[in-house]
Amino acid sequence: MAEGQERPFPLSPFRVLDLTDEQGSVCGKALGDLGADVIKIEPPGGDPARRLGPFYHDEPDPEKSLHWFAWNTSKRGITLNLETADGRALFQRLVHTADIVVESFPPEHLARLNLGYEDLTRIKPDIILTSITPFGQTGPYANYKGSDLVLQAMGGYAYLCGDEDRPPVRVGVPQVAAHAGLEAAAASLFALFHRLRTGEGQHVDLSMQLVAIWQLMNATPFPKLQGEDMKRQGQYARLGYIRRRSLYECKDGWVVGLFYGGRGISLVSTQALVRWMDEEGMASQELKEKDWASWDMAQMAQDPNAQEEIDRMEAAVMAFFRTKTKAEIFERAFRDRMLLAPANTIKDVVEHPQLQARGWWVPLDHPELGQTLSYPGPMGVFNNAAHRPRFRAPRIGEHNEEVYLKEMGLSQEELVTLQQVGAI
Amino acid sequence: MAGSRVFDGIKVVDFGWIGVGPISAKYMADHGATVIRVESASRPDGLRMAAPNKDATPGINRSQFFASFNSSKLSLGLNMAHPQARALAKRLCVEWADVVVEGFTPKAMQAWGLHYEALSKENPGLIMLSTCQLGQTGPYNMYAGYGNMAAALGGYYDFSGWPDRPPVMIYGAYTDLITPHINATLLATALIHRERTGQGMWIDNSQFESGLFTAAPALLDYTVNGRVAQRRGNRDEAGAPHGVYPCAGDERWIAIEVFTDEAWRSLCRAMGDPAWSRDPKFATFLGRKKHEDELDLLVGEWTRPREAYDLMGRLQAAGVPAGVVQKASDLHEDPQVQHRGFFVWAEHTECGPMPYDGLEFILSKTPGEVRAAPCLGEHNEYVLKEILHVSDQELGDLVVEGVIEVGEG
Repeated sequence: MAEGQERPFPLSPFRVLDLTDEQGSVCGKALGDLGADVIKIEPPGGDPARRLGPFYHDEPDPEKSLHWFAWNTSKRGITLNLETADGRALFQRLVHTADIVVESFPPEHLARLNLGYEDLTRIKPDIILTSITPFGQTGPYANYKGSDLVLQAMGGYAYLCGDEDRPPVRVGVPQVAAHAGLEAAAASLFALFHRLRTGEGQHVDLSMQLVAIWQLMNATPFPKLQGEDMKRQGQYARLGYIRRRSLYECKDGWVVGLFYGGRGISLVSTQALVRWMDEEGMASQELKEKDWASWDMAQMAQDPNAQEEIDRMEAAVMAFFRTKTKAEIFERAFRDRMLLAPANTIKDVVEHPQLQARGWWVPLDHPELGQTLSYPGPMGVFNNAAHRPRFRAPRIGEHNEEVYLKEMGLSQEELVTLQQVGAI
Repeated sequence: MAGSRVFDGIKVVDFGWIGVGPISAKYMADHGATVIRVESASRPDGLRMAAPNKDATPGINRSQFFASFNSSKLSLGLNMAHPQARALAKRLCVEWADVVVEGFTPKAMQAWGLHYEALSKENPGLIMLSTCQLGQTGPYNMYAGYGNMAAALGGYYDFSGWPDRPPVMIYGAYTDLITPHINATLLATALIHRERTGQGMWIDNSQFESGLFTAAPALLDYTVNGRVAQRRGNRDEAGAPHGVYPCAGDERWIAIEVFTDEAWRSLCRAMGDPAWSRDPKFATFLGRKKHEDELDLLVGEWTRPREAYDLMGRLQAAGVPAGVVQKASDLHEDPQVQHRGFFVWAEHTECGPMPYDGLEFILSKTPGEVRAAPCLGEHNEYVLKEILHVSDQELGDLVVEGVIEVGEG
């Protein structure tokens, strides 16, 4: 799209006050990338989340945290101390102008400052307050602390991951705060839609633990319906008596492959794989003659002798894949509709031609670094509206003057005084 | 406004398949929209027969895997091979729907004449979400697969697991569980936009791109620093100790995160200040990191004979972030999960009360509600007669000709 031909950002009429720490910052980013005016409110001196790495060129500076850059795009930044009376007064004035306030303080923290939901409705009756906490606003664990690892554990997902002979392991890149931030963005917009239709705001209470539980896909009802718990299986998937390999080593790494029989895409996939192996003389008679349509996993799962055949087949497939690279496998899988994908490294991901072709990477200017950095792009593409990270994360107090002086009409002297007394 | 829900009066046609599309539409159904899941008995959704099933016995209406992703919806059984079925589907989309959700590879809906261009001509205010693995455009747009594929493509297997071991799968079609948060956000955005402007919208969502959303810091670490994220077990640069430790009993573990000196001192006190913890090499964070292997062994020795939940309670009371590594059956007993009313036993027409995963957030004025999923074709009569105004005679003909279908148990 040519510059200057900007379609409107759909959330541009709305303002969000972002009081979150790293447990909730993703919410404001999502809303800001959709066009909302998100004002990130940090304590004087900056949000402690700025200490989280990785860092730009490994320079540990609060203005160079890549974690901060990633999760605070499209936000303006001001400093404000809610622990002071002056700070709270300024915040209340800002609430007047806001549609959504999002926070991730411990339960009751804002209420103790007389800034809880009820208090905010006295300032702006239709305000939406979105509260993100590890376990929710109330309940026996409401005051429990936890970030990614504890929440993956308490949410049931860590139990399901990793090698069988090692402890449960979490997803290698922290997930829960990102899932929760996205869910909080959705929930905030649900509340906003309701407000547009009825004039009524409300309080959104989001539990990160429950967000973590939703990663479990189908594992949660198993105990109640089939009397068993799913368990981590490393590179395999167990079903009854059988164990199926999911990850296969290839020439330059690993690929994930699901080879079943039956019907539909499974059948097409397995038949295509055998054809490919045959082209290179690596398909045994057994593989070529097999009636894959009737190769039924559910049936084999009941057969204590089925593993031998499965092991033979998987060994043959592994030997074949060892002669092929991830890229070759992906191309052929795409061409022949095989249920196969390389276990890409982050490098493979960044270089993936599909992302380039879709223009997914977004360049954002960092004048303070004298550079433009390439950012992960939008959540989707709208046909008639804009959506993408709009500008880089704010520096500490970067928009103090813009917000306090220009928009709120404070004087320069007041700004100086407030800074000196630690209110901003 | 008691009894009202966010999407009251909003009408959705759900052509989703398996995971992302159906879960995305489910958000709306649980929050009051009327969502019609269009499905076929002759070519049923892959999850209709997938475990876990009622009494561990598969059947077209017995899968809780399917039900979980299709709560609160109506079901219309249509055999889309019939031109009449496609005509009925089109009528639903242009005469009735506010929102259409579809999860096929690009061009599938076009082949049926149900792509955005065709539908929006007759229903200009229509919001349509098209979600697929790699997006509507680009050289690989026709790539098909499960969320396991997109998760692999997205790096999730490569960077998960142990540094001395090859990559492992993380459970499930992982990107299928990230993408719906995004699609719910995008659908709400489109509805807000329409509320303000009267304009409809087409949303092109790629599950691969959505899966990358949560890995943003790792992606930047590569584009800025050239660093490729490596497997590191349960460790973290900012925590020590930070890991999963064994507890008493079989497969009982506790996760402990110590990020501050204060938490370290609290942990030591909780452990009864053992001699090893007073060794100066563990007093500083750098020291604990340098001797992390030994630290993990020693903490593990302390946790090993202890009961996991008791330990969690004590550590949390002392201000140390700690959590039992729960399994699914533990989640059903978890007092906090129960307090939130998360698991909902909803009455299913064929199976009776079934356990649904509920809502992650509570809206104070307009809470959502999880209702049971439908049987296949359960609402054919309602949809055809009440919504599409098909006569009894026509309805009979459509049944006989196999245009509309019901799933037989």
